[in-house]
Amino acid sequence: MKNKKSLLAIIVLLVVVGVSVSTYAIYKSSATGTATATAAAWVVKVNNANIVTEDEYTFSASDIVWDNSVSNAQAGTIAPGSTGTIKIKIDADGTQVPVDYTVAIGTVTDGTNNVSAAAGFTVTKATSSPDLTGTIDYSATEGGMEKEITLQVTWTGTAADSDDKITADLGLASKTLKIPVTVTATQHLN
Amino acid sequence: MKEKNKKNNTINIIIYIVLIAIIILLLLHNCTFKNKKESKVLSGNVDIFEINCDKKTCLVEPTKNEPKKDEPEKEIPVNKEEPNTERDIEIDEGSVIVEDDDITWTNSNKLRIFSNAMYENKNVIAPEDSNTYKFVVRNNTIYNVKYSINFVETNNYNINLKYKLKRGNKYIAGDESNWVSYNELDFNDKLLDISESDTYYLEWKWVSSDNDALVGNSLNANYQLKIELDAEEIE
Repeated sequence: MKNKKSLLAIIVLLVVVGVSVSTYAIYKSSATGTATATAAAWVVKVNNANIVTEDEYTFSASDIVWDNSVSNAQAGTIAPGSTGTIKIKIDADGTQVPVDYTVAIGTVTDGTNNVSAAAGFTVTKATSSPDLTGTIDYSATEGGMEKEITLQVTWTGTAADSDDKITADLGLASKTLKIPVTVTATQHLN
Repeated sequence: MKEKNKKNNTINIIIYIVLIAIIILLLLHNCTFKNKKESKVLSGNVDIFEINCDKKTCLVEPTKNEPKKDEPEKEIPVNKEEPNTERDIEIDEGSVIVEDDDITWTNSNKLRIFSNAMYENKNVIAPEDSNTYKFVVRNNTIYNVKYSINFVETNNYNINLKYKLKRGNKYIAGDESNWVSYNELDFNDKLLDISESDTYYLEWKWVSSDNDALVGNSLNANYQLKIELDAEEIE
């Protein structure tokens, strides 16, 4: 019994010595490096609507500023010969990259998507407006990344037109017009 | 019966002797001064110690300094109270270090992996941005070592960052045409001899993806890459 205890003690000692010297004998080292990056901001609004999160913006009638060139038209209405402007403000303030933009004008229709019913209406870039396609350079200055595009809306015809009004014109009375305008903004790459 | 007892005692004695011999051998093996590096012969006003054993903690005897011939001899102070003193010294094992163009890594470093000239060298990135980060693993120990490198990503905004890794001028992850994810950069047990070094080039790129606008719209969306190195002596 005594011998067995002695033998056990030596085996335990052997194991302890083996583990401790093996642990002591191996050199170990470590090093760690960490890097953090922040994504450049992308904040683009069209007439205050965030185009990243909102797919569609609907202009209201008040967004169109009509000329009073048709003097004999009833106040608050338009008539053939009327012209107006729509301003589209592209605001990329806060964005940390230059922005390429494109303003595409679709086909004008009436409220039922009837193209022919809106014949005579045209929407074009106003003469005084920047181009419909361009680049807004990066700027950290407030207001430094804004661009305002002006579209001109025209109802062809003349105020002095003495002919009977065409059916299409008469058919537009009290109707809604849809003027689709698509603004696309993408990061400018060198 | 007596004979049996005698036989058992003999066996036990033999076992004890064998076990004690194993213990002694283990102790001797791990006290051996492994991979002893040849020291340069130092000159000038230095203390030269003659090591007369091969243990990590050694007894040494200071020897007389030999000044350079072009320098005047300086009197070396002797401790008159304890002449011929024997001193214990610890041999510096050195360490495996990692360094880049700016710093030597410690465990709390912020690396300039994503430093971007487009943003005054701040760590700001945008889709299609890319750059290369160079770092060097250097064996300044007194052993031949093997090391492993592990890459860990924190990417809560799903930024589509991809990588390539070169050791010297050879790709070990990705290639000229292909980028890989961070978890394909890891490698294990790269051997590195004493005084040798390995140079790495970590290339990164934000590859354009469908969620880029959402990422940029989440103000201050961030990304983190951690690089961990573990080295150990080769037994």
